[in-house]
Amino acid sequence: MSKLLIANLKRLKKNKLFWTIAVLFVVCTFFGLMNTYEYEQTLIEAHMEMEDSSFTPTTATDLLFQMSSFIGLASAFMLAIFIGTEYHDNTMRNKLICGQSRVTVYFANFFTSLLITLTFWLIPILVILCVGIPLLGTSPMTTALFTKIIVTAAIGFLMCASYTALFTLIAMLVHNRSYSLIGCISLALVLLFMGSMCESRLSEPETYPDYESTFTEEGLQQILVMEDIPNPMYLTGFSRQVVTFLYDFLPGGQSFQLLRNRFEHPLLCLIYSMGITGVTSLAGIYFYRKKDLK
Amino acid sequence: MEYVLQTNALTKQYRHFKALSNLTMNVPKGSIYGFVGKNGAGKTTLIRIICGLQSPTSGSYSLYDTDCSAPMILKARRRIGAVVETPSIYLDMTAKENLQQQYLILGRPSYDGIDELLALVGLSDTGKKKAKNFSLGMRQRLGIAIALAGNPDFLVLDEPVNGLDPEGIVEIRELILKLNREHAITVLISSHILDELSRLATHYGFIDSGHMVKEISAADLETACRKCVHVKVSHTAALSHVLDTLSLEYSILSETEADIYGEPSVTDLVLRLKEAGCELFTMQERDENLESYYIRLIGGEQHE
Repeated sequence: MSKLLIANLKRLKKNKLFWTIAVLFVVCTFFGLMNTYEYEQTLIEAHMEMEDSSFTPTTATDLLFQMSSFIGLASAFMLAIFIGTEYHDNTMRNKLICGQSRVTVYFANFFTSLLITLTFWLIPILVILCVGIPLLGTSPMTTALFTKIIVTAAIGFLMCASYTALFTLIAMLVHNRSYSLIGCISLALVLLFMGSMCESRLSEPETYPDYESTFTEEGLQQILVMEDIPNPMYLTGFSRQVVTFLYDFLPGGQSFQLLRNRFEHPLLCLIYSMGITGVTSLAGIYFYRKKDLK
Repeated sequence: MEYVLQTNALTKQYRHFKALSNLTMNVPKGSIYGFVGKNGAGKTTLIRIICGLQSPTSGSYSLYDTDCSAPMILKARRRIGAVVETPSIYLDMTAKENLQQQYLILGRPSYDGIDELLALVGLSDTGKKKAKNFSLGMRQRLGIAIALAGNPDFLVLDEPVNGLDPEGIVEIRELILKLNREHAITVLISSHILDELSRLATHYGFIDSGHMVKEISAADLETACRKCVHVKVSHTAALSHVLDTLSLEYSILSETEADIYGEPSVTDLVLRLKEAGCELFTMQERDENLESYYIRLIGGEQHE
């Protein structure tokens, strides 16, 4: 497999799309940081004017995994093109004709794809470490915070692996590069949409205050706060369990949790990602071994 | 005889279409095997199967005496180089980069030999030109160079001269002959261009509707296609006696028909037949080539 990995890495090194996406991540993260910095400065000034000492500004530590929600789309686009080119240019068969097994070819492509996804994921983190810390500073490093960063990094790493496994499966089984691209991007969008939906439903408050407005004799509106009433959008019981499961299970849901830097069930997220990666890769190898190549 | 490739009742079924049907073929070591058949006859399917791109539905094949179901088939396949249909090349890479890729896939320790390979296929001067800007002939030659990167003992070429200009066809032909004669590489070529194939092949396999109609060596084919005079006479026993006295080669086809090889003197033959009491009804010159042989063979097969 090392031969194929080296060949893939050499091809990746010359791939313009890969470098373009990498540079885009650097630029987007940089400008995102600059915006955050300006916004934080405005907030700090406003709170200083109000003499509000309880305000805690956002630090680079809080933003470390901010760009994780874009990984799915970037990875889908890049992997569909990178692996799809092997079908488009028919070079996949060069590997098989010279005696490489299908399992080896699949794994070599999976590991190269994982490297691509991880690179896209790590670039913003590096930019935040290099630029964000001097600009925004860091939160005081406690054991709890350090543990949280390590666990979040592990979740991010395995989310990248699960995204990679899904897109590798599609790219390796769909012979047409355009269809493969459509398939991967559609899946990435569906996962993001579902993640967003899950987050939206789970963040609904259980109750909300009921308001009543009346007008005084002088014609002024008067708002009276009544008692809290149950929120019909708040999920309970089995439906809440299902949505919570999807939020933790789907890479799209995990990417939103990374964005919010908040995890309810970190261990489950890790297990689910490992499960998706393992099952998807096994299924991919099974079908790829059966596939008739042209 | 030692064989590089042998297939045994090989069958490939795609849903309702049988691309190969109990195909049995034998490619002798050191030969240039011309694989002849019309579009959809199953040539490319067979090539895809032996290259490991597809699996047979039933039957088997062996490469260098290694059965396709044995784990060692992967090792045997390392001795193959192939160009299947279109050349397998990265279009956004130069000729040299494409060969470097193949060297890495093969695990060769260095890039030594790439310049020689490019020179062998006439692509030394392509420089930084990307393969997507190559002509069809240049791509074909680069495909062959990639197939040769692993120093194969067995080269499989699917329609190698398709779309080439006359000069390109001659170059590819000379290259194949050179590889076969100087490097002792066994070559399997599938082609529609029978005239071109007849200049190269030492053996032929004729395939139709997925099954092998006939395998024949070029020497036997030449004998079968010899120039002859086909005659119809009243009785071939007398004809046989006359031809023996004239020391002419012939073959008796029936009691009234025969093929006479060479160029007999018509007057002499007629006079002698008259003396022997044999009447000559018709005389027809036949000059068969690979094309007419193929049409007769496949046409005959279809009418059986």
